[in-house]
Amino acid sequence: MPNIRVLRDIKARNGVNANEITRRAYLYVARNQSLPPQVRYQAQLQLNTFGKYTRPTTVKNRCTESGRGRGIMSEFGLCRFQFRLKALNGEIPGVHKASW
Amino acid sequence: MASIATVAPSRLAALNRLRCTIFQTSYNPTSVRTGAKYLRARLRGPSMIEYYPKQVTIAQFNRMSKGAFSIVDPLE
Repeated sequence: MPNIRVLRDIKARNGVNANEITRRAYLYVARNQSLPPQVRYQAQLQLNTFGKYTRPTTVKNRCTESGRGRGIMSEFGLCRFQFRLKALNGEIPGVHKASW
Repeated sequence: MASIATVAPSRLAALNRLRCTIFQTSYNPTSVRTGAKYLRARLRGPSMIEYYPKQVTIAQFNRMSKGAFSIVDPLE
């Protein structure tokens, strides 16, 4: 059973995916300088009503093994310790100890 | 013939407008922000939801085996 923070992150990701197109539409209206300011302002107000699980800034890459939020290498989706454990076991293809 | 081309800016603007109609690009001489970049950018949602690997929970496993196996979840 994953971490509660991982569950929250999954919820955020699903919310972002569901609302991405409508957010983009409102953003387009709110940031368009050739539209009248009342329309832009209303679009911005609508953007403000979106909850936090729809904003892409709340999504954070977490470790897929341990759920750690810091020290994540995005190429592997693992935190630095889990990466080390797996790499030394040989479970990550193409990764070996460096020596040159 | 002038050595450096001294073309009137109105003619240059007309040329630009004509180019945009020919090549079907958007004409924006004053560089006003249209917000088109939010529509143009690719969607990030589908790649976001594929980040975590799908994990089979014990309840799902029991459902999938249709009564053949049933593991009791120790935490429940």
